[in-house]
Amino acid sequence: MKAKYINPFLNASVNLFRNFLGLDLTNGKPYILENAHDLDEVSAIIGLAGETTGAVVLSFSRTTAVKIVSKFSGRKFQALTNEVIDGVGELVNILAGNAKKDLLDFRIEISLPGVITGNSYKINWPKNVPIITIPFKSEIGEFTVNVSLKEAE
Amino acid sequence: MQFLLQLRLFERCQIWILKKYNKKVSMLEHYSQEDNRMKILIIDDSSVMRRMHKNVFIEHKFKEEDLIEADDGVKAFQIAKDQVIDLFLVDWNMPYLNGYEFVKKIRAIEKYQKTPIIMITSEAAKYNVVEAIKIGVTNYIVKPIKADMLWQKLEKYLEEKS
Repeated sequence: MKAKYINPFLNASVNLFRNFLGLDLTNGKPYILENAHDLDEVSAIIGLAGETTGAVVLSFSRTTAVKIVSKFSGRKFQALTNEVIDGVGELVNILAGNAKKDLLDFRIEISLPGVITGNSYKINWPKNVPIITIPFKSEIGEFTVNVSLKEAE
Repeated sequence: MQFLLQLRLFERCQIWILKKYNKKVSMLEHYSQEDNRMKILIIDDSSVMRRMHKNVFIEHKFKEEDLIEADDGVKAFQIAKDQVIDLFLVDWNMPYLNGYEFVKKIRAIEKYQKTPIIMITSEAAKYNVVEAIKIGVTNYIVKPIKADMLWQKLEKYLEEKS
């Protein structure tokens, strides 16, 4: 997948987690996710449709999800409550919506976010399109932003 | 002589700070006074976002009962028809009736043709902004936004009304 399709998601992540939430954030080198099930316990998903198709998944451990949503909302959560799940969905919504600004090759509509929790789940990724994982590290835990997007013809 | 000048300057600064402080205090009380009360409809499918928006108003002494919430456009439209809303905060992506369609429906109602509608959404693409403005959105704010920045952007619409 071309950098011009990955960079908007990288930039949106940095804007959200570093600039807005003030996390001490570092990102690793993006890589192809070989095993599509190799995600953390909490995954927020948003579908992309319109002139192309794709999906964005923000994935972290329960602990990191709770900490990030606490920071985002300004409320101290102790467990993965419905509100934390709602907050996680909102984070992926912001990420995908913000990334659209720099995806200039096509017009995209984003779906409503969904959140999956557990140790075994399957995501319906677009067929025959690689999934690119951008790994992030912060003082409140690690997480990944996973993007699969059909390129313009 | 120089000492006197410094003293005068210091006094002036004190007066300026006091005036600013008093203005801020009176503005804080302003929205809870009966004549200045306004009904705000906060429309977002995320309960976390609604709570965050609501807190911005509560910090500025709005009464809880003046801050109405709806988690989709259909419910929001019904509330807007039944009551008189002074300011709308509306998300774009919502189930049943999204923010874009909601704004079109609201603007078709005579009593809401001039009411401020602030769209607060993650949708940052230029075409989204243009389309929202075309259908009558008063201001377009891209999430995420800090509480103090949001207040700065909203305050002028509240002042215009009162």
